[in-house]
Order: sequence, then C-alpha cells, then structure tokens
Amino acid sequence: MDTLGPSTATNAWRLRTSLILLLVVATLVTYGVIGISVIAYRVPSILKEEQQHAQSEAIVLARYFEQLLNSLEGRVAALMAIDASMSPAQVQRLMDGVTGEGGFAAIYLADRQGRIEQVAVSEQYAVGRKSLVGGDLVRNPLFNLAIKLDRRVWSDRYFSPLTGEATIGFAIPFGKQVLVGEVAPDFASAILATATEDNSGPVLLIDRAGELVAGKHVSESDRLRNWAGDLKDALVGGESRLHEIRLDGKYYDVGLAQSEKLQWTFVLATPAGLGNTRVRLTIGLVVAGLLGSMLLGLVLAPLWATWMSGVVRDLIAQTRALTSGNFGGKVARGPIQEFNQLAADMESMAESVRQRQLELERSEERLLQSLQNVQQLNLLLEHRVELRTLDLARANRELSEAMEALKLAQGELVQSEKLASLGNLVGGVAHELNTPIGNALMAVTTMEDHVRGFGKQLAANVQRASLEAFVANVEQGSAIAVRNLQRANELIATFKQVAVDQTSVQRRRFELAEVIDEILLTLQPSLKRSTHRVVCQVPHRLGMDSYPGPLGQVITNLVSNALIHAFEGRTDGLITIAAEASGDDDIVLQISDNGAGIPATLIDRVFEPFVTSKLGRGGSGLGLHIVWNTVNGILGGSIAVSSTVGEGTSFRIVMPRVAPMPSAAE
Amino acid sequence: MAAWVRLLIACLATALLAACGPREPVRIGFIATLTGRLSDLGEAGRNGAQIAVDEINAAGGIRGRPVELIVQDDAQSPEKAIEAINHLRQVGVELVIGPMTSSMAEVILPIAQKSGIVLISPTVTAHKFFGRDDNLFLIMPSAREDARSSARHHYQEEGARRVAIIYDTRNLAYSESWLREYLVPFQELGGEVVPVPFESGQDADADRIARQALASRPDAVVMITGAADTARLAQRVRELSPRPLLLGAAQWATTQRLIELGGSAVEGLVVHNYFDNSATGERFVRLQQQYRERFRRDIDFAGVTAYDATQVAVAVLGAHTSGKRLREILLAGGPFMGADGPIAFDANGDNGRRPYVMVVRDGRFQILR
Repeated sequence: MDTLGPSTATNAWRLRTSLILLLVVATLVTYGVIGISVIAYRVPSILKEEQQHAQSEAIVLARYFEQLLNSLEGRVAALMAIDASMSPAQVQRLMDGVTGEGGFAAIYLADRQGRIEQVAVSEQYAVGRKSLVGGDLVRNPLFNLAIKLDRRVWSDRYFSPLTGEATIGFAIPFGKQVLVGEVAPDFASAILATATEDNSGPVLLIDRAGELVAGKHVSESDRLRNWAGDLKDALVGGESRLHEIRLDGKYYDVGLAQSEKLQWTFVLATPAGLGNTRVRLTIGLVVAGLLGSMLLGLVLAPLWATWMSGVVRDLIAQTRALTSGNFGGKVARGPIQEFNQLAADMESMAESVRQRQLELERSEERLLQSLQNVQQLNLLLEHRVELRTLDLARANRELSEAMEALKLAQGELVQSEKLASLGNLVGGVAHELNTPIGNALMAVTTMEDHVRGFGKQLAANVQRASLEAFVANVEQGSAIAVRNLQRANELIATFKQVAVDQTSVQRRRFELAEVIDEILLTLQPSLKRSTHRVVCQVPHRLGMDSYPGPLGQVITNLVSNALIHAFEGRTDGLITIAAEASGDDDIVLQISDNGAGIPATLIDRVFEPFVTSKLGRGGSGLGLHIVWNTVNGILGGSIAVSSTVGEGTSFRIVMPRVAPMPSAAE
Repeated sequence: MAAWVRLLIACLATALLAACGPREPVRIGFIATLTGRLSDLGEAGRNGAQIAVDEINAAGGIRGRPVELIVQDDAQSPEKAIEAINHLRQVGVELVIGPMTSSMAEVILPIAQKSGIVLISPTVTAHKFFGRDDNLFLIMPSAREDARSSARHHYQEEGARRVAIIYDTRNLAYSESWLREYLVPFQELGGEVVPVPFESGQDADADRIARQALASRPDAVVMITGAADTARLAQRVRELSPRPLLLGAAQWATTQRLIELGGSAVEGLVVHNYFDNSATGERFVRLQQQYRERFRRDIDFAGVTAYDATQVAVAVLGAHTSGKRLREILLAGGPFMGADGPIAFDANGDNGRRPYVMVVRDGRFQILR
C-alpha cells in the first residue's frame, strides 16, 4: 500500500523522506566535520613535510653540484702546471686532454691582458676554434673579475665567445696567465636531471643575476624569465624565507639552498595545495569517503526508512480498519519499543471499542424490545380511546339531545313566562282599568239613579232646588265618569303602548326616561298596594335606538323581583332606578333596593334558570334568567348583580344606546 | 527544516571551496631570441622589460592587478617564432613586447595581425615595417635613418670611399634594408659599396668572410650582424688587416656583448644609434642603476627600448576598457613616457628620432657627436 491518502498539511513530508534526509544529513554533517578536521590537520603537515624534504634535498643538491664543479675546477687547475718552459704544442695537448675528458666546451689560456694564446675545445666545437685564437677577453666580465680578485672565480651565466651561448665559466689566474674554462652548455641541466631523478617536481638552478642556469620540469617562459626579484632576500643566513613560487600558473612550495662557491640558488619545488599529490590524495580520500558514506547512506537510509515507515503504515492500516469496524486485526511486534507500545495500545483500544460496540448492540436490542412493547400498548390505547370516543360520542349525542330538549323547554318556559308575564300584565291592565271604569260605572249608575229620581220628581212639581240639585249631581256624576274614563283611556293607551312594546319586538327610538315612566305607570297598581317606594333618577335626554319592549320587560321584572323578594317583612322598601350615560355609546342603568339582599349561596346563580328562593310561592325562577337573556341578547348589553345580605341588592345594566342589529335567528 | 538544511550544505560547500587565489594578473607577452648567438638582444630586452614590470607591480599593477610577463623564445627560427606567438595567443595575451629582430617580426606579424594581437617592438627597425598601418608598433626609428647617417658620416667625416659591408643573411629583413638604405646615399655621394653576404652561425667561418671583405681593400668595413658575430668578425678583420681600418656596425649589434666579446678588436668601432648611455635624466639614471644591480652588467639600447615598450604597453592596457581597441589607444594616446624622453607614435605607429654617432672607447659606447 503506497498511497496514504491526502495528508492534513500539504507541505508535510512523508516519514520516509524525512527519515532519509535525517540519516543522510547526519552522515554528511558527521563526515563533513570529521573530514574537514582531518584535512585541516593533515594537509598542512603534509605540505610542511614535503617542503622540509625539498629543503634538505636542495641542500644535498647544492652540495653535490659544488662537488662536481670542484672536480671540474680541479681538472682545469691541473693545467696550472703549464709554465713557460712548455711548447705551445705541449700546452695544446694538455689542454686538449682536459677538454677531451668531457664537461668542457672550451678552455682558453690567455695572458693577463686578455689576449687568448691557446684554445682547446671539445670535439663538437672544433670548427669554430680557429676564430677564437687571437681573440681577446679584455672585456670579458669573468676574466676581468678574476684579474681583479686575483683568484679563482666562477661566473654567473656566461656567454661563450665560442658558442655565443650561455653557459657557466670559471677563470683561474695563475702567474702571468689566466685559464678560462667554459663548461659545456648542457652540463648543468644533465647534472640536474640525474641528481634529482626521484624528485618529480620542478628543479631550478638560478645564478646570482637571477637567470636560470638549468631547470627541470620548467616551462619555457619560466625558464626564460628572470628570477632575481623572486629570490631577493630568499635566503637569509641559510634560512629559507621564500615559501612559495609560481611556476606555469601553479603554486609550489620550495626548498632552497645556495651553493657557497657560486652563490647560486637551488630551488626544489613541491606542488603546493591541491597540486601536491599527497594532499590531493588525502582530500580525495576524504571526499571519496564523504561521497561513499553519503551514497551508502542514500542506499541504507531508504531501506531503514522504508522499514520504519512500513511499521507506521501497518499501524495506520490498523487504525483504518478500526474506523471501518474491523476489530480483529493485529500488528506484528518489531524492535522499536515505542511502536510496539503503540501497537499494543492500539489493540487494547480496538478491544475496548469492540466491547463498547457489543454493549451498544445489546442496549439497542433492549430498546427495540421496549419500542415494540410500547407499540403494542399504543395499539391497545388507541383501541380504548376509540371505544371511549364512541362512548363519548354517544354521550355527546345524548347530551346534545338533552340540550336541545332543554333549549326547547327553556324556550317554552320563556314563552310561558312571557305568557305569564303577559298574563300578569293583562291582569295588571285589567286591574288598573277596573278602577277607573268601575268608578266611571259607579258615577254613571249614580247618575242614572239621580235621573230616575228626578223623573219621578217631574211628575209632581219640580222645584228649582231639586233641579239644581239634579244638575249638580249630573255634573258631578259626569265629571267623575269623564275623568275616570279619560283615565281609563290613558291607561288603555299606555297599556297599548306597553303591549305593543311588550308583545312585539319592535325597535324604535325613544327616551329612556319616557319608557321607564310608562313602565312605572303599569306597575302602579302593584306599587299602590305596598308601602314601598320607587324613586326614579333617570335624566332626560338619554336617547336610545333600541327595543323598548324588552327593555321594559327587564325593568318590570327587576322591580317586581325587588318587590317580591327584597322586602319580606318590611314596609319601608326603597327601589331606586338610576341611569346615566357611559361614554357616548352606552348607558348604565342601575336598579337597586335596600332589601334583604341575595345570600352568597345564590348570588352566583341568580341568572340561571329555575333558581329562586321562592319556589312554590309564586316565583318561577325564570325572571332573572329572562332579564339576563334579554339584556345580553337583544339589548346587546350586560348585567351584573351585587348584593349585601341585610343591606340591599343592586342590578347594574350596561347597554349600548344603539342596540345591535338582530341576527336572523332572533 | 528544508531551508536550514540547504543552508548548511551550502556553507559546507563554500568552506570546501574556500581557496581564494590572488587577483588574476594582466599578462603581457614577450618574444625575443633568448637562446643562441643573438640572445644578447633578447636577454637585454627581457631584462629591461622585467625591470619595467617589477616597477609597475611595485606601484600596484594595472588597476590593482599584477602584471605578468610571459616570456617566449623565438631562437631566431621561424618555426619556433610561430610556436611562440601561438602559445601567447592561446594564453590569451593581447599585447606582446617584441620581437627584437626584423626577421622574426616578418614571421610573427601576420599571425598577430590576424588574431588581433598588438606588437610593440623595442628594436625592430627594418624600413619595410615603417609607414604601414598594422599591429606592429615600433619604439625605434627606421633603420633607414641609421643607415643614412652612417653613409654620410663614413663618407663625409671619415673620408671613406670604398666600404665593404658584411651583411647577415640570417636576418635578411634587417640587413638588406640597412644595406640598401646605406648604399643609395653612399653611392649618391660618390662612394662604392662592396656587399659581402655572411651566414651567421656557430660554424660560420669568420676568417673566410673577413678575408673576403678585405680583398676589395676597403676604407671601412661595416658589419651588419649580431653582436657576437660582429665581435668575431671584428677580431678577424683587425688581425688580418695590415692597416687600421674603420669599423662600423649596425645598431643591432650595439649591445654589451659586443664589447665583452669584441674586446680590443672593437675599440674605435663606430655605430649610429639612438641610445645615449651618458644621459643624465633622473629616470634613466635610476634605470641604469637598477639594471646594473640586478643583472650585473650595463644596460644597453635593447634594455632601454624594451623598458620603454613595456611602459607603453602598461599605459595602454591601463587605459584599455571595453570598446577601445589597443591599437587605437596606442595611436591616440601619446606621448608615452620613455626612460630618456617621450615616445609618440605617428599614424603608422612609427617613432621619429635622430641618431647619435657613437664610438666604442675604453670598453664603452661613447657619443661622438
């Protein structure tokens, strides 16, 4: 499994990569530090060694060279044996003998003025020999120096008159003559080559003037240049102060020695820095080691890293399995403690998760079971509810039927009450009418008597006094009759009004005070019979657009109620009818008495039908109910009762001036 | 983590590569004959150039960079000369001091011209190189002046009527030019010239040549060859000639070696050159001293002209920024300070001066007039 899915941070590295990097960097840094220390310590010591070796070699070389030159000198010095006694041919032979031994290009024998007397040359220069004899060395610097110092002198680079080329020369003044020898031009380089066979670096032999006499492994431009500047102060008291020269663009450490005889400088150069083989080797080894260890690291690191990240991957896989519900997996233990710990913890976590899972399942089952139970109960309940509902429905139906019946009964009762009140009313009317009509009848009857009487009188003599008496009786009698009949007429008119008002539910505008007055009129008879009083405190100009009939009924009932119930055993009852406007729209009508009051047990129910304290004694129990109905119904108002036992009762009606329009049902 | 790891690696790498070398030097080439019979010219030239280079480096070099003289030998051989110039070209040299002899100049100039290298020659004087618009800049005036002056002097001052001229066929470019330039005015004046060709070399038979020259019984013998051979020939002539004879030489031979090798034979030898070794200018005196200290001999014209040539070269390279070619700078930027006077190049890169008449006396060149 190679892909681990998207990582949480886009620039987070894979474990493997970071492990590899860690191992490689650790290797590099360690090796780098060690390597650099090795180089820093070793390289300078190598270079120092080499330089010291070169130094000692240079000294050896210088000495060797000197020895050789000494021997050459010696050979020529042997010629000092020449004296005036010898013939030129003898001298020539001697000289040729020396040159024949090799090492010399030419030997001159000159007088102290520089005139060359005899010349011996080595074979290869034989041709030019002729032209040398007779020549002079008078301007030859070597010759002049020898004459001046009067001793053997070696030249620096010396230009041969014979070859015209640079070589080494020496002069030996003796007696009246001077021997001048020219060393073969390749002498120096040949010696140099053999003497330094095992030295692979450049070797330079530089004369006092800084010219290169001979060199090995020296490029042409270095050969031809003048070294005086570089070697200036290089050797002070035998100590080499020059540490580094540049040959052909490369830098070299040097070992310096000077030949005492010639004051020439022998320079043995060893490559400096990276030019030096051993240094290169050391550095090469270190670098190779570095690369090697890095490579090794790069090879091993991925393996190790892969293995390690493999273990981690197993753990990750295990976790994955867990999240998808497999609990059984096990991770193999490895050599890393922490991972093992992690694996163990992972497994125990898996186990506990599994336990939880089981528990969950079990409680799930239980839950299911309970649910099922509940469902069943539910069904039962529903069933019962259905039954109850049916029952209730039935009860409801019965109740509604009862209600209907009651309503009907109520209606009938109301009707009968109405009839009863109507009967009362009729009775009252009749009662009221009875009196005036009776009175009138009485008066007319009396008159009738009087008339008869008079008639009788007529048969005899009528006296004026009796006529006057008759007229007076008739006048009186008719006045009474008229008065009473007018009264009866008035009453009838009023009753008509009331009846009209009472029996028909007609709406009209009226003054409240008027209607109340009219009602009171009708109640006169009842009032008269009692000692109780009715006081009216109704202001005029309380106009209403309402139903005076029902309103009158209400007032009638309330007053009657008070009369009947309030003043049991009393004679000073007072009923007050008061009215006032309430706002612009309503009227408050208050009918109060100072009677016995309504007991607390009854007061809440007085408006209910069939509630009376005088059942069987003349009260139908419907009066207040009719009042309540009428006020709340057709009049569109409300009624309230308040009462204090022993002090009185008060009915408060609030109704709109303009009664609401009746609904169709009314 | 990535950032500082990279930084660490970079630091390590830098530490390993920490070898800081010195500043890249300015390389000037030097071609001359440094081996063989004519090596006196070359060596003197190299010494003079070296003194100039050391002076310049002591003063800080060219814009802080040290000057390095890359010395190459032409060994008076065309093959070696071509090798030398090619080597210098490969090394990236833009300016070369040299060559010292006209015959080598002939060989080297075409290659230098093609590769854009500028040559500043201290001692080439063959007339054919004058009046040409090329990469060869000459410190000394044309050999013509020298030859003409010699011709006039020999005829008028020395009263010579017949002159034998021994000329070196190895350096024909110069010797032929000198010969011609001498011959025309001398003949015009009414004199007679006897040319004697001479092939210089180690095996050359100086004796035979001397005899040949003396056979025509000349009033003067002029030798147009290198110092070593002039010395040898002079010795032969002196020995073979019954009467004292005027000896003349070309400027080419007026090096110290002539005196060293010639000895008494060259006493009285008359030459024309442009070099007054008794000049007293401060710079010149200092140069003389330095040369004597370092090289243990006296400076000669080759050394002085090479010194001058190097000074010019350094001045030009110092002014050389991208765009301006060295040639243009040489032509436009002058006069340059020479050891014994200003140096200015004309449009053809030539230098105009009048020669001195010098004679060898007591082992030294002395001005006659």
